Amino acid sequence: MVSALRLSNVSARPAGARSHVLDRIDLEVRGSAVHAIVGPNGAGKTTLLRVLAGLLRPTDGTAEVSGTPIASLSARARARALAVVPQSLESVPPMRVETFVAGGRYAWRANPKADRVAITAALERTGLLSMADRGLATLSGGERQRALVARALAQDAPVLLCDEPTASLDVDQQIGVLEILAGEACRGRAVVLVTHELNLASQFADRVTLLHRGRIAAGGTPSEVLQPTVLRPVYGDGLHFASLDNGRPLVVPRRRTPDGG
Amino acid sequence: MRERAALIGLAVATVALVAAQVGVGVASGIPVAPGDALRACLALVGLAEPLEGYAQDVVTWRLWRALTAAGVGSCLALAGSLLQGLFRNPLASPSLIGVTAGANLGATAALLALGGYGAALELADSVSAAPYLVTLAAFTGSLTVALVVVTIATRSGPGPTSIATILLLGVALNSCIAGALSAVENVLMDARDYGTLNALQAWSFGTLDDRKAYHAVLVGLGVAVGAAAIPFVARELDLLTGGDEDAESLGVSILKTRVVALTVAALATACAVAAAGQVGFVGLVVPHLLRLLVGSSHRTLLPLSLLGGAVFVLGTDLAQVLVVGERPLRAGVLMSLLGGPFFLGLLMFHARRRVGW
Repeated sequence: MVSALRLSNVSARPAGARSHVLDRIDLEVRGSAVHAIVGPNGAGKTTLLRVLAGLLRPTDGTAEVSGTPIASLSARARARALAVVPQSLESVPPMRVETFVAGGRYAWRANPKADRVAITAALERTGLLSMADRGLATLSGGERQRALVARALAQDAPVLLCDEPTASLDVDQQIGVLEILAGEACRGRAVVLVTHELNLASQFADRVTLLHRGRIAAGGTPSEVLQPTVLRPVYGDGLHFASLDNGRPLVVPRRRTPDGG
Repeated sequence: MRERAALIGLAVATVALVAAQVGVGVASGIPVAPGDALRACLALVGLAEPLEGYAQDVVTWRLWRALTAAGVGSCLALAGSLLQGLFRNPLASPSLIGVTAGANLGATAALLALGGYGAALELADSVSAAPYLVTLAAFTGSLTVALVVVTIATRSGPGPTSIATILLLGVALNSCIAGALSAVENVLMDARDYGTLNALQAWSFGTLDDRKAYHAVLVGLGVAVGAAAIPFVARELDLLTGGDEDAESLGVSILKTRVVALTVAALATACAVAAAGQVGFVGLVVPHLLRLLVGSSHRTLLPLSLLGGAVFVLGTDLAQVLVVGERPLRAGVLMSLLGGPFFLGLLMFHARRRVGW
């Protein structure tokens, strides 16, 4: 079976960086699953996502989507294969939600009827159908994040790449966005979720890759990766480990100083 | 619905204002009956007998003036909308960032080489391709300045170009070009070449007087190229509002969009400057007024800029005749008087308003 995404021996250095941020990464992402990329700040998570999205060319190694080198694809062909959900945009586009979501159809040059079907389905799956005529600037943080997801769904790509999609959202909104993404994995999409929230990765991911200083420190199921022997060398010993009812690991920070100290 | 109403309204207003300029005339007290004016226009394309005496010449002169004014407005407003979309900054306009001055510098160099003379921007009859060579030189000047602006503006990294960067770039480039033009004028003054000096000053003030067929053709070229380019950049500029990488992830070719938008903005500005000299603020004022009317989508804004720019220049030109009478201000002076306060108002508005994701 061909992997949805495959990185082979990839090194990358973003513009302005003095040294490689990613160092000889091998990674395989399969369809119908949520694959979380976790790691401390500066580990190279966002750089990895940019390489996967074809927005940053590796200095070494190859990045492939469905067996095709990403670098060989035109911008439109790439957008038909890979949809990106950014953490935020540089500014709020002054447009209606529906117009914003329609931006996801740019790569397809499809007929208006096919576009309409894809846009309506994306709005419906993200719970934004009733807000289609509202201005993007009037939405709450969680609703805007769902609009970003809706636009990526309208793009109709088999791979969804999400960069910290729940940052700055409250718990309820985090669950809302991640349940939508998990639902897309159930529909057959490969969902890559870059996050620094270990517990969200534990709850929603099928596979977890731990990045540390630009290299892969560990990879496997949440139970295999989110355990003391794997995480303590990366995050230090300020973590407490437990297990939830569903058997998924729970990782919480522990005070290094005694109570009241 | 509102977009369609604006499109129809502006198209009707453009035709009505051209007709009013031809019928009523600007800076000319010679009245021509509407039927005669129509006959004179048809005579230009061989569909009617020309009017007798000076009447035919008067109508012809007014027609070229009106068409040039409409084309200058269209070109500058379109260039403004394109630059504002490209820099994601509502204060980017051809005159503020120095693109108009760059075109003026190029045109000046061509005038010096080809032998332009007189305040009316006449060109030496001995060089038949002179108008087009002046346009080419103006295009070289405007494109060079536009490339300098893009290079410097994108050095600070991705993201919208800040208002401060745009304004400082404009101040620096306009100062450099003004210095170069002053140096040229100084040399001409020392050489007592008052004819060429007069011509250069007319360019820097901008004028719509004494326009000929080739002036209308020049701006018509700018309008045609601009209109043809709209389908290739409108949706792309809309998608760019979220950032370069965001647009690229949606399938937009950033390089192609930049090249097309910048080239068309530079060419449209060059055509306007080659036909009427330096006319400022149209590219700033018109896109802003249109955004208030129909919103920010470039798929609506760009075509409406072509019509809105024409209506703005034709309308203000006609209005000032009604106010000032027989000796109206030059187009560049009038636009500066109107655009300056508008620009100050915009600065105050944007200083108060910040919308982030």
